[in-house]
Order: sequence, then structure tokens, then C-alpha cells
Amino acid sequence: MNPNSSHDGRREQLLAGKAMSDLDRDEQLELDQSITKEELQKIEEYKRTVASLDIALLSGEERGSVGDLSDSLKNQILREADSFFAGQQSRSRLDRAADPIVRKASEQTNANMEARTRWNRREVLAWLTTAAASTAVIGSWWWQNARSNGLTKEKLSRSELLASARDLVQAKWQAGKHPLDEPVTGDVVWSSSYQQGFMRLAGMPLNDPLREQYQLWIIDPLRDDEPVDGGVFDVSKTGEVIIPIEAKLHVTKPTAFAITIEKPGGVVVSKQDRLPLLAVVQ
Amino acid sequence: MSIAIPNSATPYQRSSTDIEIREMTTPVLPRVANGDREAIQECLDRYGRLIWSLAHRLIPNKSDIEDAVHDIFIEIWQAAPKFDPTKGDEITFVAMLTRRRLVDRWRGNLRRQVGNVDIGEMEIAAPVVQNPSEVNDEAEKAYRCFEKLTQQTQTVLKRSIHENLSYAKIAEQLQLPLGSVKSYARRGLIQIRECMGRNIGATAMENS
Repeated sequence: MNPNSSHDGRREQLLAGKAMSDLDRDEQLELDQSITKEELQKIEEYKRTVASLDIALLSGEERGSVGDLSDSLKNQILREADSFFAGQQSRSRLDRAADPIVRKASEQTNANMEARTRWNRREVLAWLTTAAASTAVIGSWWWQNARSNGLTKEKLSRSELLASARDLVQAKWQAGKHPLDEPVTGDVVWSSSYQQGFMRLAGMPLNDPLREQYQLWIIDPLRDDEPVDGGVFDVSKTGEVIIPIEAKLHVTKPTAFAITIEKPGGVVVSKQDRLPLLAVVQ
Repeated sequence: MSIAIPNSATPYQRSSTDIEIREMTTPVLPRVANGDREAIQECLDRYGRLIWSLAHRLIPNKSDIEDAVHDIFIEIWQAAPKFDPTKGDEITFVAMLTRRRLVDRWRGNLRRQVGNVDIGEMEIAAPVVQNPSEVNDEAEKAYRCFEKLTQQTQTVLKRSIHENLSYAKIAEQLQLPLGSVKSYARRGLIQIRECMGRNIGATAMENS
């Protein structure tokens, strides 16, 4: 028997299991240890197969007999959509006008980010060849003005979120299980309806990304017992930094946020050997 | 109450009207991604009943279903720019998002309900497909491949995917070892995916 085919069969089962959300912790770790881009793609294909089968197994009778969305629910969803897209357009305008100062390290290796970067390059090229000089002057003035006010993209977006999110939760950082040498102040804000949030950290020690990185975890018991990965990040300047949260899964109602120190690239499941900061939602 | 064991499903029969309906149904999510209000309304009308039905299977309480459907649509607005029509049908994309959200919610509920309602005791309708016009191409292919599986594998997959029963519960019901149930489910899914891939290849050859 070809040992490779046995290994391939095992991997295939893990991928199928992942798509059906049935992996136990050991299987999850086994899969994550050496998962490839092709395998991630395959998991998506399996998930699509599961969804297709689910649609097929949903009987016409079942669909007809269980009812439909009420008008009031439809109206509520439409109102929510209006609010969501209005906020998105507003954020988009701000994003176009400013550049990030504090970058999330994980985004550098994220495929989506790469695609976005490529798109930005195309946009820039198109912009350079077609934009009128006056537009450039206005854009430059806006950004210079923002910089002179000490505003970064993150701060602007954070302010925007604070102003527009009706379900905003806010929690102050406090020492975690393994406090840092010097106290860190700041807070974390999160909106579940926007699925967006920011960490504000003052006095956070700079990290060497080649040795270790910070990782945020979102504790959301309504969603899952396991904390949601909020993204890996670096702190590369002293003073106050504002870092956008990159929740890897949909967050419902967070009750706490924790920052751990992990190996470069972060981890899927944290052992919580180093948990310097915690923010509990009151 | 006991579980109603799913009967064998009615085979699909595609009519010319069904085909026309599908061809006329262009994706709505690209327009949703641009915040087009008409498209948002269309999306609600097009997928509202499907999402409601999927949610209804797992959530017994009407107000909780409404909450879930509301959250799912917000997730659809957020994910709309990611929809790629070259990778699959729009309805499948919507169903994927819906399943993920429902499974998350379902697990959260289960953990809070330890000792209360037992999903295994809920009566679930037999999945008999009666209106193929409501089913997309990918679902139809998936079903045809599903029918080729052994009865045991079909039963395990139905109970796992459609009824969302835990493997432990399925093992108990079918009096099988837990490992076997897991294996049936995963191998069944692998076989369906392979079969669908072959069908796509065959269709492409027929069309060439």
C-alpha cells in the first residue's frame, strides 16, 4: 500500500471533517500544523458541497409549511441594511483619504490583503494617469490637514465607529494573568452590527515580529466556548497605538478581550502561557 | 416523540420552465455589495424563505429564528463583495453563510441547554424534494451523487447535515461505533464531491 495514499486519505477526511465542523481538538491541531493554501480552498469546496446537499435535502413541503419572513422582519432587515451601507460608504470615504500608520502584521501575509494591495496598485496607476491636478491638491490638503491634527486612519475610523455604532461595547485594558513590567492603558471598542472594533493601547512594549507577536482573542460565550481569533499584530512605535480588530469569525456578543503573546504568525489555539492584558466588558 | 426516518427522495425531474427560471435568475449579490436598495429587497425576497426554512429546522422558537435570520442577512450584506459567480451558484453561497451562522448559534444554544431539550427527540420532516424549480444546479448534482451512496451513508449524512444531529446521537440511534459514523459522514461527503467533479467534467465534455 502506498503510504502517501494513506496520508492523503487521512488529510482528505480531515478536510471533509473541517467542512462539516466535526473535528475534535487533536484533529484540528493535526490539520492546522501543515495546512496548505490548496487545502484551504478544498475545505471551501467541501463546505459548498455540504450547503448544496442541505438545500437539496430541504423539502419543498418543508419550505412551504414553515412560513416566511414577516413584513415587520423584512422592514427591520431593510432598515439595518440602510444603516450598514450608509456606514460602509462613510468608512470607505475616510479610508480612501488616509493611509494607515499602524499596520497589522498578519495582513502582510494574508492573501486577501495581497489581492487588495494588487488592486490598490492598479487603482493608483489608473489614478495617476487620469486624475486631475486639482483633485491631487485637494487630496493632499485633506491628508496633510489630518496629519497635522494627529489623526491616523485608525483613529478616524475608530471615531466614526464610536459616533455611528448603536451597539458599541467598550472595555478598559487591565493586567492579565501575566502582567507586563510597565502598566498599559487604553481600551477596546467593538460593534457587533458593524463587525468592527479597535484596540487602543498606550505604553505597550514594542515586539520583535521575528521572535513573537501579539494576538487578540475575543471571548464570546453566546457564539462559542472557544475564543475567536481577533488577529495577530505588532507594536512598532511607542506611545499610543490604535489597532483595528480582525475577527476571523462572526462575533455576536463579546464579554471580554484578551491579548496573548505568541510565536510569529500567531496560533489557532492559544495555550495562554503569556496573557498580559485583559479587557472585561462591564 | 421519535425521529421520522427520512424516506427515499423523489428523483429530480427538470422541466424547461425550471431551466428558464434558472437562466433568468442573475446573481443579485454584486448589486447588493454596492448598496443597491432594490437589490437588497430582491435578495430578501429571493432567499428569505430559504434562510427561514434552514433556520426553522434548528431553532424551535420563532423570535429566535427572527434573530438568526436578521443576523444572517447582515452577514450576507458584509460578505456580498466576496461572492464570485465563477466559483458556484449564488444560492449555495447564501446557504453556506447561513449554515455557518446557524451552526455557530446552534452550538451556543446546545451548551446552554445541557439537560434540557434533546435534539434527538425532535421530530424532523422527511427530506423529500418536491419542487425542483426551487433547487439550484449544484444542489441537484449533489443530490444525484448523494443517491449513489450506500443507504447507511445516506442516513448518516442526512442526520448529520440536514438534521444536525451529533455523531454521538447518530451512533446511538443507528447502534454503530462513533468512529464508524464519523467515517461514514466524511467519506460520504468526499464521494459526493468527487462525483460532482466528475459530473461537471462530463457536462463540460458534452457541451464542448
